[in-house]
Amino acid sequence: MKNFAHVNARSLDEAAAALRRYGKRAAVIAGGTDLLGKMKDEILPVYPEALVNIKTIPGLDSIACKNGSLSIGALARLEDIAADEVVKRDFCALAEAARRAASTHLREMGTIGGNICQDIRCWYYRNPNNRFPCLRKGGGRCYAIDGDNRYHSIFGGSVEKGCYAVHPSDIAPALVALDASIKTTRRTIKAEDFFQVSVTKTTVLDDDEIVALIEVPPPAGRSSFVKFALRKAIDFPIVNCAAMISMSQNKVASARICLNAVFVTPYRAAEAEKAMAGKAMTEADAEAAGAAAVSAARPMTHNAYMVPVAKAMVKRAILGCAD
Amino acid sequence: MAELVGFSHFAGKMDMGSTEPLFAYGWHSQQGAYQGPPGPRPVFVRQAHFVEVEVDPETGEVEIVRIANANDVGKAINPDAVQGQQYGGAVMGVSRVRTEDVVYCPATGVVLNGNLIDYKINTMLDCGPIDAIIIETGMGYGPYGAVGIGEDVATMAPYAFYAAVHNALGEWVDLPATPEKVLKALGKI
Repeated sequence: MKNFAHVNARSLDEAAAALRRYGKRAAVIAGGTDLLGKMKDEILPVYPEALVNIKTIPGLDSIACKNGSLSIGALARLEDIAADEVVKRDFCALAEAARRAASTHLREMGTIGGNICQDIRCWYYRNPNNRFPCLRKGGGRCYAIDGDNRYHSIFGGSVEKGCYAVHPSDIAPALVALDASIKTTRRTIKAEDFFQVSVTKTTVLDDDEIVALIEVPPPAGRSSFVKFALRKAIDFPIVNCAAMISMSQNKVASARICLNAVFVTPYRAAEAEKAMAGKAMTEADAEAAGAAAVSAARPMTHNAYMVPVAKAMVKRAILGCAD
Repeated sequence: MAELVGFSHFAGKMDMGSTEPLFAYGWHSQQGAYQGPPGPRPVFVRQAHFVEVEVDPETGEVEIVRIANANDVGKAINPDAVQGQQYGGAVMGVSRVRTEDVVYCPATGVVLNGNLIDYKINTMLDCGPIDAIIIETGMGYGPYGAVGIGEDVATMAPYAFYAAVHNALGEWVDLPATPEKVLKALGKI
């Protein structure tokens, strides 16, 4: 690990000013569970010269519910979100996503803001000492295309022959399914527009923009989150899925279904949502919606198995919303 | 070195008063004082391992429902330490064949998962309850008829797991039994 400057920000404005001062050579740190690992392994060609610590900003870790809407500060830790009684009761998908993310230690450190801004886990990108200078590091190609891509995208790359790494967050699909908005220092962005299909960044945030608050409107119906990973106590998802379904007269009135870890950004399963509209919540309906969700899948050389897994996750997330 | 190899070779052929291993019925006894030459003492260990798995046919996940280990350690001088070996060996053994795999890039030969996030060692939540059963028959050459338990469980548990997966699928799958291989065996991909 190389030396770096460390700036304790007392307000979001001060943090943004510090980021502007260092240009692209600074990074925001809160829990640091993603950033410090990246720095220790020296996977980046350009090392951050400064870390802007936002943990010192007071009041940014609140979890509050007002008139049915939830607002969560960017510094709220995943463990606190998972344990919050209101979140557990009314925003099941979010509580379950927070509970299933990472391990107990990481959930005690990691924040919700950091979770949605985290970097990709591609093992070519993350190989120590920058061994694979891939597209994301300004190199010429994606090594996963010809390599082992068992944990890569099944819905194509950022562009053809672009970056095929998946978005690894558990929280992100829950926020998309719950139709949350993300308030930054500059604007308010819908959760599904927050993530960027790009080889340089995972979010649409500007270099000096910081996530401040996550706002979840009153849920339209029951929500659920399911995750498939090889291990239970700690793991990034192979596929996860969040769904929120509202019913009227025993028929599906509206459905929001979002898969993650299958594409460069969280993948809204619009086909599955269409397939569920007006249906009863039977197992056959959910199964058909699962098949619809993966109808556009174009798996790579090693990840065809993710297609039936994604199908099963959509089905189970839908059935998880049933009473 | 040659001397040591010679000793072990000789010792391996020593009449330990044991029968040939039998699948139907067998017995052996190694009670009493050790009569062989000085040097490494071959010790027979008796053990039985049971692994129960559930395979999810939609995702290819192999879930371990329960593990039972019975080890005849002769005499458990420190039962907690013996059970520690049984728990540890069971987790390590099934982990090796359930998820652990060193992944080399097929194009460049570089190890891709040289870290503890991508090299997937199972956790206690992935192994189900483990019954660690100690049998004490005093059959060993050690004090009070004790024998060791060092590596026993971890060498046996993988094959009990392997057989359990075969029993569930009706097919042998290559190890580790990852979702990809299980779904292939089931004809899903």
